[in-house]
Amino acid sequence: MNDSELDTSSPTEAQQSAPSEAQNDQQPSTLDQSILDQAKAQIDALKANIQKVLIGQNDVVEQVVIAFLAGGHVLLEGVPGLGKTLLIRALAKSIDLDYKRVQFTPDLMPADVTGHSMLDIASGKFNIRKGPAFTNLLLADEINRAPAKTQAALLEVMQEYQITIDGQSLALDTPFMVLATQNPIDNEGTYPLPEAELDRFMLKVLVSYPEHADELTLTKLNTEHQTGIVNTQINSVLTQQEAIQLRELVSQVLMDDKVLEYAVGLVRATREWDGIVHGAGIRGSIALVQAAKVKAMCEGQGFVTPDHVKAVLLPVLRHRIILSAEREIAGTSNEAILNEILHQAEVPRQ
Amino acid sequence: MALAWWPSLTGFWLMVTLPFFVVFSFVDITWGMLLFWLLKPLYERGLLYILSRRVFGQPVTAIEAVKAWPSQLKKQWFASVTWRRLSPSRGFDLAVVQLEGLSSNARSKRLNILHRTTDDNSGWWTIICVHWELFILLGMISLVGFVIPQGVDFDYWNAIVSDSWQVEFSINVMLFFVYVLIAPFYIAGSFAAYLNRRILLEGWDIEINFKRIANQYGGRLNSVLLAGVFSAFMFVAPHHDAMAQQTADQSLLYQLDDTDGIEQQNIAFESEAQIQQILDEPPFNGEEVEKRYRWVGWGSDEEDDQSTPPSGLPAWLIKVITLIANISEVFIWLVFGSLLLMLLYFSRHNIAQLFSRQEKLPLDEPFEMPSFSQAFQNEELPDDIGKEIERLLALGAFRKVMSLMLISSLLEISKHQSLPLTKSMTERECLHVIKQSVSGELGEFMDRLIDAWVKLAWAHQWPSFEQMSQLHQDWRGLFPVIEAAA
Repeated sequence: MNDSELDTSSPTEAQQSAPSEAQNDQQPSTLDQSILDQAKAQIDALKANIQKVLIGQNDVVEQVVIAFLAGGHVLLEGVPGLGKTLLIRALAKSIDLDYKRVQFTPDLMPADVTGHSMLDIASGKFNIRKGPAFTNLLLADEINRAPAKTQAALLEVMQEYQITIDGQSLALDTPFMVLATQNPIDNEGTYPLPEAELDRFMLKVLVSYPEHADELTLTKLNTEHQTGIVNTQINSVLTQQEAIQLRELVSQVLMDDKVLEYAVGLVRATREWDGIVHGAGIRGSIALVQAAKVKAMCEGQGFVTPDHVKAVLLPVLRHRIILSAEREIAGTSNEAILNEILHQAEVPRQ
Repeated sequence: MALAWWPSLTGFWLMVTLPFFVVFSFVDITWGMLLFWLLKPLYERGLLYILSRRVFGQPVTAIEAVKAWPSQLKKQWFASVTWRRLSPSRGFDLAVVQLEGLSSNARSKRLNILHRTTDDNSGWWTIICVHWELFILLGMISLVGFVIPQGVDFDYWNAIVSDSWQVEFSINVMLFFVYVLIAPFYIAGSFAAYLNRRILLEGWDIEINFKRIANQYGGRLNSVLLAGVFSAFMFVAPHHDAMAQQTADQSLLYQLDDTDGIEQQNIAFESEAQIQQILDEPPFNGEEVEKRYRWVGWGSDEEDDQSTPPSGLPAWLIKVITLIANISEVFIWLVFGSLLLMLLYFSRHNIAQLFSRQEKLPLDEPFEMPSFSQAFQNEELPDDIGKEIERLLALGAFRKVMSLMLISSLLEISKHQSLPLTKSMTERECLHVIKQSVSGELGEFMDRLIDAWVKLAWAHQWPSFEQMSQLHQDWRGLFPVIEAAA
């Protein structure tokens, strides 16, 4: 029974029928508030633990955590020395996960990342030697310094969560996440990531310099102790099992059809927007919805509002659109044009 | 040269070419113009006639040039309108044929000498002038296009290739005026190049100066003296065909040879004195007259000194031009002032905001009060909102109750506060804006109301009856005006 039906019913009947009206609507979130509160507390603890060493990068930490819980990969863009490696180390240690770091260079071969089979002289058989990609968190440092074939080796890893060596497919551990970094300056001798690979990154996170006060704290912490902040002991605040449970919880976050429509509409708008020659694909819609759900859960909510969609739109879509030559010449950034879309798209109403 | 002697050059051109243009156009509008163009080298001979006399100081009027024109056509007229018509250096070569009177091998040898240089740009001048003609013609057509009223369909390409005789004749008239403008410059430029080449080859500038002086200072004695000096220079100068003019003067030199030594000495002294006298007078007295356009500003001393009009322009024309210039200046200043005032008028809001301390509003976006709910999106609000809320609350229609409370609250707040809300704002963004304008109980109420609405809208969590009753009570307390109006 809806509102219009209620208009004709008697007050007594209406009072009794209110719960049934709710039942006839879209199903409410099945997540219990206590579970949500617990999830929020765990996520907050995770973020706080990372922020202990990565000072002044709260937004970056939150976005990386969102991508981790959403099961996506992250492309971190920032100048060297902003703690990108520290971030992944802190994330790995906070969840008690294994992590590997690969410095991408022009002579890096795909097998150096994925692994290869090697002939064992003693047994006369080929043994598979697993590469650094067989881990939970893989830091692909300066990914754009490696040639296209090495970058492409990551495609299967990122999308299929498996690695094929000598025709044998080997599943990766769960959770698995790639955190790739690239330097926005010093582009000489780099290989820009192809669109197909960029699309596989759920979020592109911009790492900027910390605020003045944060930089002061960072400098102080690094100079007061002999070990420095980089070698600070990071305790685990989340088990691997808890992390997986949090990921599973995300799928239960409620998203109203109108909010879903709004999110997909925003992605579709990038394909027709004046000034964008290539808009985001379907992966963009999926990533946006998934990231919005995690964002809601991070706030302790079992439902997604348009606010959550808006909050994650920029990191989800900024690397999935290509601006027209005129807009690039005019100095328009991807973020500015996405804000244009946000500014003009009508928010759904119930 | 073309500017200095424009009256005679343009006068001659108009007198000779206009009848041809009219007749040819009357015979055939298309082929007539082609024929007119083909015969252009013949008309140009008259221009060269004027220039070649003027440069030696001999004044020639347009009428005199017209009279002398037929005699200038005799030499190789057919070649100039047929196989030499498209020669890029025809303007430069014309002087050799017309002034030096050379033909066949002699002409070829002469041209070979004149063109034998590393920077022979005679052909480029023709190409430049052709481009000038083209640009001016296109400019004229564009001008016509600009002044045609907006309703009239005007296609530039169709205007050029049109078969309509009116359009074709108009284009031909424009082309005729283009020729009137460019032809004197083309021939003057070509002749200047020819003179320059001869100066480099033969020091002809000295001869030109002396001939000019000879023409200026007529008289037997002076002629004798000048001829003497001239002959002395020519003794060291290389021989060339243009020396034919001096044969008459040479007889005087022969006469001087017959006089005795004392008389020759006296003549020499007198010659020296007279030469000195000549050197003390223009153009040898070291003074230079510079003729160029120069802005001296209104009311300046230099302007006042210029009581005499520039040469070539009648006084009445100067007055008319000055009047037009003054009126134009006033008009331009009026337009400028009007534009400035218009700019200030249309920017008045921006200027006012520039000096205002109030928060700037995003003017590029129209304020649209978000409806929050679709419940009353397409229908008018009830007259008695309070009573309607009570009725709906009793019915348990919480969505409509909250919609009505939200809309009425926002409308009431917006009467007193500026709420720059848009349809692209979410509920929480709207709340953020509202809380910047209102605080205290009202702010707290809006917080609770919107929070309840968000949970209802996106989490599908229905509020309890008690929660709704409490919100209703608070609403009645905070917005008594709505209640009173009801």
